Amino acid sequence: MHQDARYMDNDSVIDGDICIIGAGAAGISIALEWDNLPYKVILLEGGGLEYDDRVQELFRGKTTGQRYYPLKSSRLHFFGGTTGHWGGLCSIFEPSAFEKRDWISESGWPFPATELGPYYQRAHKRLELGEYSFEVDHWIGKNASLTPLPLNKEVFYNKIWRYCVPEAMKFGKKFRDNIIRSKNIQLFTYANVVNLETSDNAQKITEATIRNYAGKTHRVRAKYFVLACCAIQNSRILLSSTKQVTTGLGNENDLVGRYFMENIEIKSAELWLKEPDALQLYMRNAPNFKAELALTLQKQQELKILNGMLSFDPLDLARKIPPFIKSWTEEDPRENRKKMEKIYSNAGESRLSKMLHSNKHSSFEITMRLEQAPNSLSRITLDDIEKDELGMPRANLNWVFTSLEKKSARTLYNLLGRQMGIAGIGRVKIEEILLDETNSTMPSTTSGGWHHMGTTRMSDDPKKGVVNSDGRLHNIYNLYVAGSSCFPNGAAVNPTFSIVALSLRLSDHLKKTMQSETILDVVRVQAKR
Amino acid sequence: MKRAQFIRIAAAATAVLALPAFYYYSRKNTCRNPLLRPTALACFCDEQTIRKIGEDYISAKPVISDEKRTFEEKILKGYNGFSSQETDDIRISNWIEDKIRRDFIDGRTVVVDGWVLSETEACQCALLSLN
Repeated sequence: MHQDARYMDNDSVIDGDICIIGAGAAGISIALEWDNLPYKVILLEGGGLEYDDRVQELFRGKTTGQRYYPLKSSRLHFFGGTTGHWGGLCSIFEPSAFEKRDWISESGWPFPATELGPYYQRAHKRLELGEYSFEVDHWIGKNASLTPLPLNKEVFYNKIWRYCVPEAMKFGKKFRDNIIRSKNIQLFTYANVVNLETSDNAQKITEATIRNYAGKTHRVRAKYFVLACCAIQNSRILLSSTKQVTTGLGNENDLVGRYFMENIEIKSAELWLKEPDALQLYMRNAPNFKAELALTLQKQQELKILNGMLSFDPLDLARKIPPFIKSWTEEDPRENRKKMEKIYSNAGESRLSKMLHSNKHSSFEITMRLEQAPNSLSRITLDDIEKDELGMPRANLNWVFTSLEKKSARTLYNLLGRQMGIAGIGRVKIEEILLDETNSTMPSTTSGGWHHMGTTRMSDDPKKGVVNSDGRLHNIYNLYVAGSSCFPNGAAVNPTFSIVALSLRLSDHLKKTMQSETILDVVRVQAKR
Repeated sequence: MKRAQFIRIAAAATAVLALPAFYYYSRKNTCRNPLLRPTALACFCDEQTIRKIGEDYISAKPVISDEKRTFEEKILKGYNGFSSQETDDIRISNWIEDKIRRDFIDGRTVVVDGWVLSETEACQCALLSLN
């Protein structure tokens, strides 16, 4: 079922069992789990079924610190959310990301990697990724021509990535019909949540206020609320809901909005080979997989650095493609997309695919995707003055690093250089700015992956996290947060696959909670009789 | 054949025959000398770039009195000489390659002009730049 909230009678009241706020990767994944169940699910989307620039404009905000993309264009505000930008790369978070690493402040998840295992398998199925395996030997076994770089396995291992097929990765298109045809899921578009109302003791959400640019305001009541917008918007909504708690919901310990993380993308080194090679294992292979080099936990521990993944692109092609941070500069996401298409088209598409698939090369650009150390100063705050069209304070980002990021990037490239020397196959050349140990300024080419994480981080200690290990706010029993805003560590892995897995886990938890509530209700009714 | 003509032809023939040998031996002193030839770098850097790496490596180090000798000694430290010159070049070259690999294993590396190099091959660059 679908309703456009712009055309509903003003001040309508919508009732349901569960209200999911946000219809992106997390929100849609959860909603689909409830299809055909005896519960009324309300799915709220701030935008429409297609792009609407007036809605997208609500995402505008300022950035400070490390140069970042315009906030308006770094995510998408319509049904399907930022999966509309997604390139479809999927991999599991490496187990080290879940562990407490004493050289990284605030590291570790409140549960081990094995906890997400079964949910990764379900996410894998949902994303139609085919055969489930993230073991390099499995894929090499299928294609003998793929050869891993002969590097020490105690230093680097080959991390497997899978690619979603285009039809499966754009959630807005892929799941639109499933949601709209569902009998118990009610999708409301143009339903921007601008406030969460709590009970007097602020321990329960009583209703969500939704608004749109048609001037309509409505109220949504549900037993449970799931905030599934995105890392920036989740914290923005919590911080803006100040009616009962002046500092914002879940913000008793000043944690909401803090620990914003990205996958830091650095293109600051080159690999030069003595003998030309295609590095085919590290390119996209059929059926939709590739490998990257990742650092072992043992080596991270020994060197006291963050994890990072290394990928390779032929240098003559890579030199034609500017770093994303220098090309994705427009506020309008459509303009950025056009720019990117032009850049790739100028680089020569046929040439690109040729290079990526068969040609041997002597030199490669090494792209590093580095995990960001949790840092409370890297944060989302509300603008003191500027509000959006619906009256919500705008969200601003201060993206900052610790000194560990630069040290890790430098060390990681250096390690690869050493390994190439040991293997006797080539040499690595590192950009000068990265080698300067006297300041922690990152190269100007440093980009993000449009992967917003943190801001409502997960911890079983209320002083260290906004939500507990179930994703529930510590002090509000019926408000959950879904998506990458809950990640206490970003790892060095694109988040979408893990967002889906974590959302399925949350959905299972909610089902159990609802079922036990139903049982309790029955017991209460029987007791009354 | 007149005597003068014979002398001219003989001189020209000698020059033609001697030229490749001269070229070979003069090149051998620089490019083919294993002490002056970082083979891995030479696969993708031209001589000028390697010389520049050498100069920058030298300038980053404290001033030393006999640079050439010092770098030679560093490169050949641990090497036992051999008899035939030709055999020595190949053996020295192989020995240096192995030493470079051991440098990487043991962490005796330097970064010069962005290149992650073994100390031995950085010395080779330095020596080349001094020749």
